[in-house]
Amino acid sequence: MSIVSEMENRVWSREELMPRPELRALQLQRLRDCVERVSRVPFYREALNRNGTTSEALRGLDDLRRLPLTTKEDLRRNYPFGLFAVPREQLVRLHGSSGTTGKPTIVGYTADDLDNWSTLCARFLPSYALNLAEAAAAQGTDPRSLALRFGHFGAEPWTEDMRCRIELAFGLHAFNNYGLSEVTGPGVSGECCRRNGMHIQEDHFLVECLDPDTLEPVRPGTPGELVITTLTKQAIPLLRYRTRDITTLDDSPCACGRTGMRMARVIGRSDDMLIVRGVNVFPSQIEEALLRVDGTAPHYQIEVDRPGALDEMTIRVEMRPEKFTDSFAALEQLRRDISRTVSSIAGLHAKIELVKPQTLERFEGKARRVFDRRREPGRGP
Amino acid sequence: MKIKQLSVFLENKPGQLSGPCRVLADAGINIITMSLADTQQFGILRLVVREWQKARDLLEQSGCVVKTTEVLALEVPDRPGGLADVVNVLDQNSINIEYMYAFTFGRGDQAVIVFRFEDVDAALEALRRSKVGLLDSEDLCRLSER
Repeated sequence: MSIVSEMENRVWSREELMPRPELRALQLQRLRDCVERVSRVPFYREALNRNGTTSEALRGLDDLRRLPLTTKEDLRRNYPFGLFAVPREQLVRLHGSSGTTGKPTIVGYTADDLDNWSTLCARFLPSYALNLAEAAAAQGTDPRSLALRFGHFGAEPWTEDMRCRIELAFGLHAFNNYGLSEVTGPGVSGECCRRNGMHIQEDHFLVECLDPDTLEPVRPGTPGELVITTLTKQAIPLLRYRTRDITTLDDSPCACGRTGMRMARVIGRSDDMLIVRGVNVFPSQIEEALLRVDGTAPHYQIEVDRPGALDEMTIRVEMRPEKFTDSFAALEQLRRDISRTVSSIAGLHAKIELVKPQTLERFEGKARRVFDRRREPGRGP
Repeated sequence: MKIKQLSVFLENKPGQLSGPCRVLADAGINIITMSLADTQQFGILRLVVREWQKARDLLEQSGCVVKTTEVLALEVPDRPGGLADVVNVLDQNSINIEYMYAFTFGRGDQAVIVFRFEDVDAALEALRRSKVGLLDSEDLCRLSER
């Protein structure tokens, strides 16, 4: 039986099927409650006072844009408990991040927060569990060991090609889900059986998609930074939290019946975004292109320069030794294939340079793959 | 009759050629003949050496990408029309040449040209039926040591 028919109608809660007008009314009501709650937090009280915004002043969801944005830096500045909206004794759980990319942050949960969180996760679980069980039975493996493996998939941006490889390797269906620890951890959004975008759990999260530069909403269907307002969180409610994650939103109806709008796989971080000749480019798009072209390794560097009036993007790609042939024609063909794939995915022409295997620097953790020479002294306009 | 040729991928930037040459020099491997072809983006260094397995291993250990290919070495009379006669044989048998490079060993009357064919076996058969002189790797080594 196909995966779609197996999972059809496996909907956990009524809210997932709520008609959008009703959903939007619920969101507005919860947004007002949320603004009420954050008014107890000095950081937000000051920001709201500056804006002159109160919960009563919110007439519709469009008024969301009158609310202040929150950044990771705000969380750090208010470390450890500055953004908590409830007294410490109501917290039942704390999560700390050691701060590998900056100062540490702490998030906390009340008992209600944890209840909500388990509901959010449970909405995805039936489909997961089903697949895990099937896979385990087929392989004679303890399902618990598979469950551990499964948990990896949603944690980081990954490409469709990676999904295919993982599915082949493990013989199971891999689903994308999305969440971030500042907001709630996993459970913000997840894929249904159609696997055509991750349904945002809009009864708990109000989302926007903004241009990271101008902070204006992007045109529907174009990539932008996901900004999340937590509608139900009590311990640390966040207004318009800038996730730095780049995605696209789609509110067209989904065949599964869920009404929550769908976000695409995260294609990068807003910090990584390059603007080349006016086109927004993300390193993950280049990576996806390279994975699609046979004969290249996923090791690459992107260099952007402006030798004359226009930006030029060069991609250095490591060749796989077994793909090297003595023929110029074959190597030129490889370059052309890469160039064509990059331009179809990223919408931009790039110069492709083939380099020897093992010659591009390897990085521990976050790779530094982008070299923007336009900002170097004595360069650029 | 087929001769092993090593093709080495080179990035098109200064200093790329010295690495492989140094590796061979340090191992005392003599380059019998070679050619360097390049585009704006990359180059291919093609080498014929006596101890090709050893050379290949050493080059690979040094980080080079190496492909072993088979070529033919033809003796071509060093006079006007010498090459035309040889190419004529290839034409008559519809043999496609991918590339070629010539060298002389200071022999007065003969040049040696290395040919890479699309179909090396078909080329070998056609040339054997003709009067074109074919050299094997031993011949080449001997010539280079004279």
